[in-house]
Amino acid sequence: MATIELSNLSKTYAGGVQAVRGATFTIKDGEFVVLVGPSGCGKSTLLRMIAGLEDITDGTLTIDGRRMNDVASRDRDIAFVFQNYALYPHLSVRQNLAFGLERRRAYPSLLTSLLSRDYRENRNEESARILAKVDRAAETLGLVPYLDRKPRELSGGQRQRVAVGRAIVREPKVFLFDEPLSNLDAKLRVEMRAELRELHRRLKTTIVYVTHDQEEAMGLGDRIVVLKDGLIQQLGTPDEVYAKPANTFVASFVGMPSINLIPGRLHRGDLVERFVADAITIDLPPSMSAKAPPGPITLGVRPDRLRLGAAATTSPWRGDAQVGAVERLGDRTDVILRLGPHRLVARCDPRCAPVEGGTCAVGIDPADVHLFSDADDGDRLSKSD
Amino acid sequence: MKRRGPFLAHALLVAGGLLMVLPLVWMLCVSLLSPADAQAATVSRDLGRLIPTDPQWSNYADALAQMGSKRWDGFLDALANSVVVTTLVVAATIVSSSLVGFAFARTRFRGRGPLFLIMLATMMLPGQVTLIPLFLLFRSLGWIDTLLPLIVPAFFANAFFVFMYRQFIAQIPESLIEAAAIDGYGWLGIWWKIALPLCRPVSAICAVFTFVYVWNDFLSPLVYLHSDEQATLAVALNSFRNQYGGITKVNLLMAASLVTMLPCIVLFFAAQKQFIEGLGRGAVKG
Repeated sequence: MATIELSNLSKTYAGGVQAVRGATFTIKDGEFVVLVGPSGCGKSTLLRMIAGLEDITDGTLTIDGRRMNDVASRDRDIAFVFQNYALYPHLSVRQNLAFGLERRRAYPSLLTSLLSRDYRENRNEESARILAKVDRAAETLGLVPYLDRKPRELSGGQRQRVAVGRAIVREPKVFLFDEPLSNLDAKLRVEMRAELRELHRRLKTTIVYVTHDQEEAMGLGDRIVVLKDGLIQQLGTPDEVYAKPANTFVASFVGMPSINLIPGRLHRGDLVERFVADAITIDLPPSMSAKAPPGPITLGVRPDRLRLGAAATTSPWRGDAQVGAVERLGDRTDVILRLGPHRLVARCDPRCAPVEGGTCAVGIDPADVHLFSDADDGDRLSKSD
Repeated sequence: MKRRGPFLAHALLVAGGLLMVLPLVWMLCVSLLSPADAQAATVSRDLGRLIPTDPQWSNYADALAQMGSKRWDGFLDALANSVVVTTLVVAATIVSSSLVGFAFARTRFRGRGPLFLIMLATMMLPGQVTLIPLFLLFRSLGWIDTLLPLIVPAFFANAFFVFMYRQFIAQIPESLIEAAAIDGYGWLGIWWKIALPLCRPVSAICAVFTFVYVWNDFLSPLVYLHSDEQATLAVALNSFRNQYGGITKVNLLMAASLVTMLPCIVLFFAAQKQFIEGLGRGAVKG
């Protein structure tokens, strides 16, 4: 159980590369926080700084109020699950699980146990305790049949479980996961995701989890931290991040298929504000864009919010689009549309999917749009009520 | 057509193998001859008498009993000395070389690169160059005619094996080291619990080569040891030569030599794989 506070945490490598810049946020006790971003965004570096595997260039890190900047990894009471699992290849699963506990024995030496009976009894008792813990963890993770195998005799999913098991037997204050599922196949990944979520519900230990997969991040995190180029872009619950992306980067990173971004201009008339782009004109409700000055602007609309065919008839704005590729995915269908110069992706019900090569009515409801400034990674302009 | 290639290769290999085993067979034959036959077969080159028609197995007991100046004690002392020196040197070489290799591979410290080069450079110095300075050094320490000059240097690592360990340890994934560090181990713990067990192939090579080298080493014991009680087997064999270098009991010398070689031969059969691998590694040592 631990609260982790990051205050202005920065990492600059010897070559001058800034991997993490001024990361400031607090991870609450028992919270599951996911750091997510494209490769090279600094998410792993940030995690490794929390673990003590990377030096902190600037800023402070505290766990439960204790400053950790100069505390060695082993004294931070954390457990780390590596992307490649980092199982000790020469040790059996049982020994792998017990490895960290063996180091923390109160009665470590075999030699002393030869001389003192008390010591010997305590040592045996401690050994039994360690074995019991290992057995319990193995049971939790369904590893009992594999306890005497070496890591190379296990499948990817089993190795992954051992890696998690090695973390939980230690009963640390904080779990740190570095892309633990990225070496598994898609199906297993989804299964393990549910198991990790379940594990967290049961253990209620603070977890910091790194992934580049936005879906994994959304599915696992109580809160997610979106990073790009070492800077935190947004921090919030999965719902917040999806519904109110802080900028166009977050908007397009979160959600599959990616959000449609349409460059255009904002006109402010007497009565209404109006978004105007080639082939698209949308009157915005008065509540939408209070912060925005008239001028260039980017409009975002999620694929599942584009209305196609009959559904478009009730939309305040609608137009006719050329239908490009149609991807049938079973429970849903993704449609590529051409609307003037814009390429849009729509997600619709398979039963009312348009025909490839034809035309199709498309409608946008102003309530569904996000407005961003037109700069790179333009900030959100819509009111974040 | 298809068969001729392998057949030729095998014929060549068999011929080569016979050539290699010839000295050994010769030793075995001579060791079983009576003194007169042995003299005839070796000195007078009467090869017809080389085949032991009446094998003298007692030669072996006689040879071992007559080694050194005291009956049996000479052999037993020499055997004990060889065993002590070889065991300690093998263990010390593995421990010290892997520790140094681990440090060069895994820790960062100022001057690591230059230090590593300097260490490698010591391999280019032939042993004969350092023989006299080392002798003077050990004499000033009062270690002459003790086993210490043969054993102690092994605790200071062997440049070649350090190099082999470093290359091997550098290939261990960083995350294993980090995992052990998080599990609570310091550098020494990681070396002992992770690096050394994972280096078993290197350690096997190191053990095999060091064993053979030390067991057969003649020069160092000859230089540092004087008295019979301190002699190793390789030196003790010399007692079959007279003061002018001539050999009077060649059959006994061969019997004693064979016994002395025995551990190496057994080791070779047990660890052929490591020998070949070690030669391969040596070939690309760069």
